[in-house]
Amino acid sequence: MPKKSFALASLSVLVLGTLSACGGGSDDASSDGDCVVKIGGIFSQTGAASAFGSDGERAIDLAIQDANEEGFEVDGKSCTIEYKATDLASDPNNAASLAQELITGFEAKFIFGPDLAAAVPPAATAVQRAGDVMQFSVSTGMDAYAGKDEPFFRLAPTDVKMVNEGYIPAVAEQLPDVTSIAMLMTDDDTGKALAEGYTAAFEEAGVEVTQTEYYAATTTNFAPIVQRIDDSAQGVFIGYNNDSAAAGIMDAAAEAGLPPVFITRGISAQPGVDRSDDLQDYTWLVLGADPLYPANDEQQAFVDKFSDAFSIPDGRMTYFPFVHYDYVGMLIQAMQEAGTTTDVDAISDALRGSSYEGVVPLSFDDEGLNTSPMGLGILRDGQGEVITFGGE
Amino acid sequence: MSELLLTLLLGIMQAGLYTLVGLGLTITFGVTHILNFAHGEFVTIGAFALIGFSTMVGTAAAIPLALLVAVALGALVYLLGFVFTIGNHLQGLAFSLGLLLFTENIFLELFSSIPRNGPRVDGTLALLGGEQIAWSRVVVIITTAALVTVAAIALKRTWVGLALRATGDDRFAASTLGLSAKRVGLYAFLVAAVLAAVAGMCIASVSPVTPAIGVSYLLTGFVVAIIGGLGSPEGVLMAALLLGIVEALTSRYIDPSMTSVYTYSLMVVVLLALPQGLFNRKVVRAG
Repeated sequence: MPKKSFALASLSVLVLGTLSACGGGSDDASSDGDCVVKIGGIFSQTGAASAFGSDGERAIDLAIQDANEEGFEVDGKSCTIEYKATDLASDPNNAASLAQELITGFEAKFIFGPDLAAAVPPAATAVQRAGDVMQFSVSTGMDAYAGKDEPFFRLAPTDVKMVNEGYIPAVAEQLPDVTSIAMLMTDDDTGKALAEGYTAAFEEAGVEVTQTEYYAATTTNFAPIVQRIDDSAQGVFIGYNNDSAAAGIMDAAAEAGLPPVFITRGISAQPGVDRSDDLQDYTWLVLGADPLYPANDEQQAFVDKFSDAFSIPDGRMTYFPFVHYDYVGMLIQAMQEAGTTTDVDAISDALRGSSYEGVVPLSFDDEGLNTSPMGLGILRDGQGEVITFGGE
Repeated sequence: MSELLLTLLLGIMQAGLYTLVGLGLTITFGVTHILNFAHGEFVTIGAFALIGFSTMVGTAAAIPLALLVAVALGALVYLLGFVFTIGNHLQGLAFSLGLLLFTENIFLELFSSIPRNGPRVDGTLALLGGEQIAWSRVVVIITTAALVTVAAIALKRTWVGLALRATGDDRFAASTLGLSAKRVGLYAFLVAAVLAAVAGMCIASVSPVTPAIGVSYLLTGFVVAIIGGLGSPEGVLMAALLLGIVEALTSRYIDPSMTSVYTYSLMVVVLLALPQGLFNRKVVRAG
């Protein structure tokens, strides 16, 4: 074979391999019922956010498999769900085209995702233009759309309710000796917008935020940044990044001799669990439930089932399945109550003010804002527990 | 004063890592004229090979094993891919980009994006004035300094180094003396793979790593290679020191959110003043 041809052939193999590894393909369920409900998913299955994104996508996939296996009827018709998953690849720039592909190409009526705050607006714009599509996202970006009489639902309470009025007061109550903290936030719109509210919430709860440091979201070298933290800080708040950044900050803080007290938001239990021997206190916000600290046998059974289904090693499942899996069941319940699988407005009305008892309890208020209970995860002296709050 | 010393040491440590990555890029470019976008993946390979092997056979045995893996994979990607793109910049670029996407996703599938820590040297070293620096970071500073010195001497004093420099300077003239460009290209890729893998092992010993670690160091590797002058090891060292220290000082004393602004501003200023970089040995042909 000529060398140039061989090189081109090798390149083609690589490109094809890359495309398949990126998971851009679809995952279509069977469609042999009287009615077919089309659900699309936009999650980061590759890239930096894939630990959470993959689990969110898998949760929707598993919930749909379970619903199809069990079967359900809407308005006397036996229905099945067809599902198509797309890969956001941890890049918000992909959101608009993926949403468009799901809406016009796949004809999805319901979209779960995206899982990144900055990716929600472009996807939501595509949904708004379509006019008859519903969107669910767990991300903070959904706060700008949910509760406004449109078919947008956030899979968690608003950040103000969940963090400012829920998590932060709960943290202050659990850590009464911590009266001053330093705040580390990513230098982007989300980080800056939230820092102000978080600071006020901490102040109200009796905790002074002595300094707020913004850092580039792509930073991996945290040692010089952590050096900036004043010795008077009794703990560090790590907001809005990923587990890797949190782990890097915690290691750098330990090296710098800062008190091993970390309050996190948007981070899982894992960085704390991996360092539990060296920590005094580590808290994280639990959405739904925490796979490392399930509240009951049903949640434990779900962790086992999910881990088995996707061959996830022990302790590596994120909390994302808990804030995605049951919403498929809740959507089916709303379709049944509305008596339609296509009238998005009617289904939205049915979702508003409804509740659902799944692996975790879910609820929306009359405006469509999420009122499901959340939890404060806390690791103290190597022991972890989840304290539930909210849910009114 | 002690705080400044600590900041400088942190900057020097980071500079050492940038040097190792940048050296690999500049050596492969100098010899083959291939801008290897997949080079950062050898950083990931080094880090994860060390983490994996150290849990199985202990750290001492894991280091040579991790290097062996990096060398084997370096040889593999060169012999199965890059060797056929020598002389065609576009093909080389496309192949390296494809390889980057492919390997990054393979690594994510294999290791997930959960952060992992490599083996560390416990304890801290007290600096004058009371500040402490982790021994792991001191070991990284010593390791990178030693390796950069060895690499510099090897490039000047050994037959392989001579071959690399001769082929980089003039491939045709070198070939008339019996130096096969393809064979020398293999040496370049193996040296680059080792340097990047050592960088990966060093990174894993001071901070948590994910499969994305290679890409984040690759970008800085390119910056130091460009500032230094593509093809110039001395330039890479100078540029890495400049960048590492500027990064540390600005993060510590000015504004950590603006670090990349300072870094890229530095690159722009250097390239405006010296379009061929700080130490370019010759005008390199582009495209």
